Amino acid sequence: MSSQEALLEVQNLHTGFTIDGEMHHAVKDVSFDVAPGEVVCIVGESGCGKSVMSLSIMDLLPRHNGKIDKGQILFKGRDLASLTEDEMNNIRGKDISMIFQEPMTALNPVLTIGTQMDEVLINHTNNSKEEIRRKSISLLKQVGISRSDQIVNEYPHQLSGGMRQRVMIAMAIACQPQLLIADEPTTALDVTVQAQILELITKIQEEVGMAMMLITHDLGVVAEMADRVVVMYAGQVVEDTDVDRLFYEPKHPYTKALLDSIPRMEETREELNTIKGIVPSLKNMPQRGCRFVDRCPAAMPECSEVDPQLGEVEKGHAVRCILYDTSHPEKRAEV
Amino acid sequence: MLIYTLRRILIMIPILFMVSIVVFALALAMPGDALSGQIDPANTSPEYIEEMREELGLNDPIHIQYARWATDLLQWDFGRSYTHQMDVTSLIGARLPNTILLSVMSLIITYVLAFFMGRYAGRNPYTKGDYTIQGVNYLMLAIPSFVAALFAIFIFSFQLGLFPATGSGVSGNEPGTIAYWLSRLHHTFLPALVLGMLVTASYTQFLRNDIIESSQKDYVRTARAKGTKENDIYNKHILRNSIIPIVTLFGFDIASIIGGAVIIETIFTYQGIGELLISSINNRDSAVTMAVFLMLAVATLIGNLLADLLYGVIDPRIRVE
Repeated sequence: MSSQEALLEVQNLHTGFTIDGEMHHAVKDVSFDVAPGEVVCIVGESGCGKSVMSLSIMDLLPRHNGKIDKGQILFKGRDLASLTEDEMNNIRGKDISMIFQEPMTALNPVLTIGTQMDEVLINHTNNSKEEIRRKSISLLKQVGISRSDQIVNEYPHQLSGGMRQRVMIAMAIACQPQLLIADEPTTALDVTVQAQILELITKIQEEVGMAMMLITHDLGVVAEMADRVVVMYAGQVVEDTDVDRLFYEPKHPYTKALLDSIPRMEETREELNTIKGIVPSLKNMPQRGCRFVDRCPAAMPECSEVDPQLGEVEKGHAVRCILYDTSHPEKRAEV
Repeated sequence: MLIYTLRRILIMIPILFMVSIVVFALALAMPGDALSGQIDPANTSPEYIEEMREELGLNDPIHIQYARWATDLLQWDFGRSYTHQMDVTSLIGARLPNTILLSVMSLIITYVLAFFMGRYAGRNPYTKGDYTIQGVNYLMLAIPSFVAALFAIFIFSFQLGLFPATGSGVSGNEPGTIAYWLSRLHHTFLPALVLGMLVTASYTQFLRNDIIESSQKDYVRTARAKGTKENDIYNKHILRNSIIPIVTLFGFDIASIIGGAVIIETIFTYQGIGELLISSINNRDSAVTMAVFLMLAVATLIGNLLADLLYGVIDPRIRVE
């Protein structure tokens, strides 16, 4: 994808946390693009850096120890990583907005829904209080909250989890952003509510025409919603391709293993397929070689020696695994 | 809310009944009685003392004495002070305004100092400013109140001559005039300052720690994601949440507003309830002692109720339906 088309270009992003005075990268050398109107799903296990990466884009990392160390986040050609706090405030909530995983804690318990809804419009528009309140009520209607004129005067604890997530969505789309980042928006919700919320997000994404970065570990959601998929493992992108090729021609052993872990309707079996082991923790990240080597069914001796690179095996399908010469740092040049 | 309040007030009745028994028992347990504070036993005939005891009802069985005292209480009669030769109600009535003035002034000093210091320290934790504030606070907390009071008198009254060292400024001016009120404020400021500074530390620390904790909450991240400015995040989102624990402390303060500060009032010879309590205990003036203790119990109960009601106002989650 050429850079003119891209709405968001993340380039060589390194984000880390200072633990005991030492910098540990939770996101290491991540690059990908999001085109206008496109839905990009970021998938991976817990602890693989998906959330940290999305928080880096919004500059919402925990202030006391989180930091973007290297790399660029180009939004419509502007590097977000180099903006001042005030410039960033003008973008957050207006051009890029975000929905979080935990609707139960994401709203301020002591302020009314209306106050919190109005806030984003007060930040980014010059409308009068009455107009803003009317807009807030109509936004709540748009996300499917009935009696929204009463809800604005209620407090978060009076609403269910699904309702709160709807409120979060209403806040996120209030200024018609060009990019919506949804960080596991349905993980904390009941299964029946999950489907409703995803449906709502899709509907609104089409209405507003915004691009979306959906972070999830639910491959069912990916199949349903994604145009493109970025698979992350241990802070790195391991595969980046369109949704069809991901499901029908997965290349990276990690992606294959993830797909194998999905239970299938037509099969009956006692045990589910799993990927053995866990994602290495920040402090125990292998310094050399592939980060997946310990859990990889296709691991070769060379895997612990050579740092695999993200390379395009074919147009629009990038993989980070030395099974493919495009990822091998030495053989790469010859391809 | 109304029903809740009424229920809470009703519950106070049995509590007060028990408190009254305890107070009465404590007064009985004090060595001596009203007479031993009044009459020199060496120069008075035992027959006369016995006669007086009989007349005052001090020889009656305990439960009858209690019943008489309690019945009088219900008729708003707290008895008579032997030392001051006046009704306890009017005696306390004369002292209470002084104590309230002192307490309110010291509370204002505490709240203003704690609010600004706590807010600054909470927003800039682990900086030089934060450490300075904490250092000063812990120093104030560590100094005993009588030492602080003596230092304050030495510096502000004797060396600088800014404030009077003793008295409550009631005498010397026509009550109600501006000069009268100015004189009272002038006399009250120094004890209020000492009193206020001493408790500022805990309030500041409460506010600071809560602000630090709240600033890492998810809703703060949501507010940032909406493009809200850092100032608004602190003043609107965080402070509204962090003020909640301070409100509980306010409930306890109600009791201290009425009860006054025993040590500070005594050192400054400030004519308040605290000083009255000490002198009554010394003079075995049990009617006054019991009345003051009862008043403190009522104030504590009301303070707790007020804190609970205020809680509901600030935190919608515990608003009572």
